[in-house]
Amino acid sequence: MKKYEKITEEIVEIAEKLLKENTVEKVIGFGIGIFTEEVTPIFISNPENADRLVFNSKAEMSLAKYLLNYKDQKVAIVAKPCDSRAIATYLAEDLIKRENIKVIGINGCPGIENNTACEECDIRNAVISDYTVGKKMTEEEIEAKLKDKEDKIEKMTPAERMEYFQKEFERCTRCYACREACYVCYCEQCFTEGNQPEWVGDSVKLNDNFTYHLMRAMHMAGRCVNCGACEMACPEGIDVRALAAKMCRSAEELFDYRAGIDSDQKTLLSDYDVNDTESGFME
Amino acid sequence: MMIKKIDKNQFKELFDKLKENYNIAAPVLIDKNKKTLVEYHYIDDFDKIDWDEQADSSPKNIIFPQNAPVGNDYKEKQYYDTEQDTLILGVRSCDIEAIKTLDQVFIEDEMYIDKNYKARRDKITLVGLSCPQRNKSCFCDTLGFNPVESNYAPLYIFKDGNEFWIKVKDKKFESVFENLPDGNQDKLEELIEKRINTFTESSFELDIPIPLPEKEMFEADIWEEMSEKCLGCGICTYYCPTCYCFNFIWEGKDGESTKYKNWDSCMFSTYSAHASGHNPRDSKEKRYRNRIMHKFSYHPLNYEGLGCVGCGRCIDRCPVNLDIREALKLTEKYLEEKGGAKSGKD
Amino acid sequence: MEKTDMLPHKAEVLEIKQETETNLNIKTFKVKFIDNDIRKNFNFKPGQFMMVTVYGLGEAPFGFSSSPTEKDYIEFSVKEVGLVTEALHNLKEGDKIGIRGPFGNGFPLDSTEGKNIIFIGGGIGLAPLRSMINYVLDEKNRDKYQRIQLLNAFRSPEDTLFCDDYQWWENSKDTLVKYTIDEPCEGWSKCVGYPHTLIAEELDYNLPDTRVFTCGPPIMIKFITERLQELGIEPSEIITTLEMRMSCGVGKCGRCNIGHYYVCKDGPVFTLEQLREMPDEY
Repeated sequence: MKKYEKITEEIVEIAEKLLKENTVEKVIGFGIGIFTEEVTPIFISNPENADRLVFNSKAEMSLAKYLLNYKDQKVAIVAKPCDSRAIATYLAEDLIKRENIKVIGINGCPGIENNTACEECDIRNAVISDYTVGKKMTEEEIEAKLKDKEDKIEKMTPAERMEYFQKEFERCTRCYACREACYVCYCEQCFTEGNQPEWVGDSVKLNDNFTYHLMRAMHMAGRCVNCGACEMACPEGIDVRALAAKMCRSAEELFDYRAGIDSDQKTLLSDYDVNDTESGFME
Repeated sequence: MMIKKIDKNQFKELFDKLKENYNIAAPVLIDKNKKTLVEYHYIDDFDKIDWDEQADSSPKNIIFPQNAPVGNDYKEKQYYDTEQDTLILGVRSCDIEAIKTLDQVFIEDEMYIDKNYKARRDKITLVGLSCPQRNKSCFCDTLGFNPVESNYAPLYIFKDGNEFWIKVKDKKFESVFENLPDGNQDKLEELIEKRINTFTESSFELDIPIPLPEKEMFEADIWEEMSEKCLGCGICTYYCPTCYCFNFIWEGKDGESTKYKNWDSCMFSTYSAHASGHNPRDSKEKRYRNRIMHKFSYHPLNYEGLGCVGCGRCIDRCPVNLDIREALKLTEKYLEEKGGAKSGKD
Repeated sequence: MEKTDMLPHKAEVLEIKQETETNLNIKTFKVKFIDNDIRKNFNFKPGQFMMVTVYGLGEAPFGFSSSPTEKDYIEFSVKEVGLVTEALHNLKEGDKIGIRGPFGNGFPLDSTEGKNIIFIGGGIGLAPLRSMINYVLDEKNRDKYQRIQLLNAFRSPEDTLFCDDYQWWENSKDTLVKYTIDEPCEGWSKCVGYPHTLIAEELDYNLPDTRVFTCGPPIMIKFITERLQELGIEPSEIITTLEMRMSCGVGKCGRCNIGHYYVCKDGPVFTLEQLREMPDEY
């Protein structure tokens, strides 16, 4: 598809220039494996290899998390709009230094294959960028892309919902791919890892799986950018994104808050307003 | 050895007959909401078997379940799964070799025999399947395994269209098959030969010494590059047919607690972390190195054979498409540049 | 005890001794197997370890700190650091725990016969050494070994361990016992300073055919092994014991490996010569 090819060309050009001029030491982007046609994160430091960078409909990983590995290095990163929101959140949470990173932001993101999050995505231009690639989408264009589908989980009765999530979480092997793929999950020690207290048992049982997914979802409030990386990473096809997406919707409905809109915004849980709704607590 | 040749309907009848004495597990297509996957499941219906696709998860799940009770504190007895005899049907060479590896570790080491594993394993009969074609990531032939035939399974199926050739290698099973029509051995060998050729055409070349030289490769400067994109999840180890690392845990109150043998993963930081906080493998790079070195150096040093069978699942299932073949190629290049490597045994 | 048994045998806690409390919380547990046959048949070597189960909670490895010459009980010392150690510290006399083992290679007793021995223990590192010290000083064994010297290092006077043993250690035949703490302290008249700085002046390190056993924090081991080599002790005569996270004890669960060696099975006792050949990952 033309759109992806055009974006790829622009990324290669910018990356090559940044590396040649020594503006950055490394470019974090998407590439193609040596043995397969699969898209994989690549880390380019030689300008001659910049042409290995690609962008296509399978660039499903969230690259933002890799920035945490290069906190003190100058790096450039290829960012889909959702990744750019993740970067903005990292900046808001003061985890990375703005002056150390160059964001190659993708505008008019055509979306990722099989990622259901893209169907709900209404932020299709990079929110933060030093260089942009692609063509900015207008509100109307974005609107047209949104799949107007009803949320089947919200429509369920509590009993149906319980059944749905039971069926999902009983398949979980707790490989923690959803956690590791998620940009939000950067805690040095996850609550699953400590044993004093032991929040989540070692054995893979339905109640412990529930605990894991529910507790992780609580940590997503006001931070999840609905990129779908968790769902794409899950080897068992579990609807892991549903809970995080619900947290996104709640943050928006209750506090008119969306994560990663700009890097100056205060994070949801570190901000307080006397007029904040207490709905959900006091009813 | 007995060779039988039957068609689909005859196999179906055979399946129904076997069902009376065995639990039968085979690869079947499962709808998993966001994904559709082929997995080993216990089945009643012959038609459910997926003969064409390599299973997305390995038969390890049946032989070495993720959580298995070892015993309890109120009666000093061990749990053994003494269920009915089980047939695992349609196991490809890679997975058969992998089960051989697990057997080596848990049964054939005189230092320690895992009674629970052995009890389960003794009840399981592997029915091999000659691999119909390479999937997009597998490389068992590169590692020296034969995708078309493995001697470790007592029963072996060669499927040719709607015809099934069955090699009965263990006399014990001859009575089950004796009334079925015989197959011509030469004809079968011809078919096998033909199929092997379809594999060799697309092999990837690899020239590394096995075991990899332990200290030299441990100290090599390639691991950071290899593991740079690794997320540190447990997928590659959980879906690997040979990865066998585990953790003993106790669950339940004193007086009614049970000991479990649970899967663990060397890719988790908690795996090697001391209670004091010290962790000998405190980075992704070190953990990844340990995983690769375990398969290609440490395991071959401790046991016969490799710790990797080239099934390609770690490649297919990895959320960032980290490719073990690239790691092996990088190893090859590193050793080549160092001027030819000696194996770890020299 | 059957080696392949992954379930522990029940043992009763006979006595709990609070060794230190001020800086580090260390207790020594004296336990015995409830089953008489098991008690009778349980043999171990100094330097080996056991897996101790707190039922319903977890299991952790501990070295024996008593000598196998004590037939009626076994002892192990526990520093409170995590879940299992905390639970052990909360036990009372009469409580039941589970024990399986012994595991590991243990100290080389036979090849040490006829040699001069130096023990250098730091903090709780003295615990596994104590098993061997009490073994070689036992009157049945004492004549098999030459001069025996101990350098026991602690952080401060409050951190000294196994004080009840000092008198008989000091009074044993041809035995030299030294104690040191990190910093000078009022009322302390013995050595002061890190143990590696004291080897040359406080010990007869240059007796022929000397073997050194050392155990303690990794940083102490590092300095001591360096110093011993400077003083001309061969790496094959410097013996230490390693600690790793462990779960099975038989080299299967995977986590305690250093290269293809499993500390639980091929160790925990290694000579410096062996360690040098192994990947540096511990």
